Amino acid sequence: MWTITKRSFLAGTLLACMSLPLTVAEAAEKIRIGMTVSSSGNFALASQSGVRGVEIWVDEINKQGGLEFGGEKRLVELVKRDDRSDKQMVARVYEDLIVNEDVDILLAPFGSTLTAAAATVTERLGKFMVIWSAASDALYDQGFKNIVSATQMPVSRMPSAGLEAAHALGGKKVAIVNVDEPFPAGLADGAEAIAEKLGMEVVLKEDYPKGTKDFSLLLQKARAAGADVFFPTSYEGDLISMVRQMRQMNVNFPFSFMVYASTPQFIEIGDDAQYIYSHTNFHPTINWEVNAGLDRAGFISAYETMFPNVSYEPDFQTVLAYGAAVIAGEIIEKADSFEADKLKQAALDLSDNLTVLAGPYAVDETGKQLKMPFPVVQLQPEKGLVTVWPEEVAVAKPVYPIPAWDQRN
Amino acid sequence: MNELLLQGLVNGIVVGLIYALIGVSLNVIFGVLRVVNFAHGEFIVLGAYGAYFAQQLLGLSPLLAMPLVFLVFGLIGYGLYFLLVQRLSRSNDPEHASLLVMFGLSLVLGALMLLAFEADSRSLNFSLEPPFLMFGNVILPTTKLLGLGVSVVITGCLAYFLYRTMPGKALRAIIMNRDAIQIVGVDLNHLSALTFGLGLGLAGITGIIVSMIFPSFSPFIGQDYTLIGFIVIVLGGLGHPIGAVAGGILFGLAEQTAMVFFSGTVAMLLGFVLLIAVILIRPAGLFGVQNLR
Repeated sequence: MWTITKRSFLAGTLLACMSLPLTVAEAAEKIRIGMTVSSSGNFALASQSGVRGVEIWVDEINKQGGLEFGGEKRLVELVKRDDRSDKQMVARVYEDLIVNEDVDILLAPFGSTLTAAAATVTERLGKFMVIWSAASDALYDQGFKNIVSATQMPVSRMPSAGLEAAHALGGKKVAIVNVDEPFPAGLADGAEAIAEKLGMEVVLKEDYPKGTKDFSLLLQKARAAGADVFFPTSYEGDLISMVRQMRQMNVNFPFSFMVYASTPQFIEIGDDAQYIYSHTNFHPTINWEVNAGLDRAGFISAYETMFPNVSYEPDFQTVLAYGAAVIAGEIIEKADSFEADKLKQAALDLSDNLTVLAGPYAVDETGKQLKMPFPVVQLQPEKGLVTVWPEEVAVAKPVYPIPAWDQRN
Repeated sequence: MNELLLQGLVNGIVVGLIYALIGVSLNVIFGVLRVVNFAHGEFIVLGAYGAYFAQQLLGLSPLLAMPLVFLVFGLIGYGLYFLLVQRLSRSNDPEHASLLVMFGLSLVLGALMLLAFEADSRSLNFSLEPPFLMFGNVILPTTKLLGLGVSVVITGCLAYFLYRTMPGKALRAIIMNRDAIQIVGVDLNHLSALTFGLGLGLAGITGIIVSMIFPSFSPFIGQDYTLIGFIVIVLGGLGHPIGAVAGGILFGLAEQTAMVFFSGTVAMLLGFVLLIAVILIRPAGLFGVQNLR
């Protein structure tokens, strides 16, 4: 049991008073970066995966003495608040971060819904926000001036790497199918526009309702249309059914790209998953030549050191958020200011000059991410899942055309 | 286009018979017990998981897992009758009460499957050689033909049971008049429990067949099968055990042939238009069982 005497109390109070001005001075010198994390709700898992990436960057920068700002090194402080996956709460908390917490710059919450809510506040209060996971095209078409998507490409651009690979390999006629839901439909619309831009002919574009169980006729329509590139943008359950039914009906396409074919659940279905093209941004064979932040090995090591007890391994959300934090740091150093317009200009000046763990960075005036391609991977016999496109990160040649079902061992 | 249309027609019949199987067990339970089994789809998905784990843990092929799943589900159904269904008859409005109870059960089963099996889509590791057969220009996967064969056998056995055996005739008598059958000394409770067990056993087998033909399943798809089941039995005639077959084929044909000319979304819409048209013209469905109550 501790006993506080009058003397020790006075001594303690004196010490506290002496140290207080110093602490306040140090805190004032830190660069304060605000963001929200979802402790609960639909976005909790992804949000928490992401914030771990930001925390790795904060730790890394502070170990280096901080960011260069105003001719001196300044430590970084991450000011985290909870948003409970609630867009109304996001708006309130971002206002609080700016008005009461006096943060210098903001990182967006997870996802398009929450980011849109946060952007209305940051725009109104004239603060700059770096986005790491909002893929909705509509967000960037609303005229927000003070946002930039550092690592997340919009939905409409996500199919680009897959179709560029198909085009480079000789694909000419594309069949695009999607379940009738917003994200897959957005991907399908994007795929159609990209294919046409590449000079490919879209011979079939068709949606089907959620809950569809039999795809055999849809597959035959794609074959009858003469497609040599099959590009379904649905979720993995439907994709598993499609690929199984392709084998059952001997439906072959020289190039089949399935958005979720790189997931462990899809690969688990066995031999039928072989040769299907997909994409991902975090895989042992994807190693960009980074010129900002940690490379893959350094990132994994930092993650294991900082989060030894977390039951989840880093995923693509962690990588996107880490990359966005790295780019935010570069933007701050380049702008040497916290004024939103100067930060935006710096973000534009850095466009096409940075490559982070998630890939090369390039943005347009709307803040839309133009690069950060999800490299194309293919499951190949004996090699497993390997990166085949783009050439900067490819580690294996694509198997093209995909062997017909009746010609496989 | 003609080739695709022919393929669509054949596919419509095959898929329709699978849809019919989904509806048959639902209809047996509704016809005999007046229980609106909203958890039917979840039991089908559980049947698929049963085959999946029988394959993973015991090395049983889905076909060999069928009797096992039928037995286990039948016993569960028999017990569940006394736990849930029997007390519904004490309610003022047993049909509405059963709808609510079974809807609750479907939510519980969906949540339990999510907890136990996680959200990932699974697929049975099952293939046949040759994988398909050609009939002129029409291609038919052997898995589908096998499923079709099993569906026909099961429906045939059920029809034989209902129309040629004494317990089956007693079941049909319950559908016609549940009060009168007690006068002749039939143990209504025991027979009802058997029916619920039979319905769930059939749902379990249906789960295995649909997971062979529509290859992926997850805890979230139970409601899809429940919806298909209800469409089929409303088309065929509520409560008529074999009416579901006609309803299934009709819906399958409408959906698959429409898909030749339109997108899947429009095809499903046309399927529902057909359903509404049948209800408007023949409110009791094609086999008009409601008149027999």
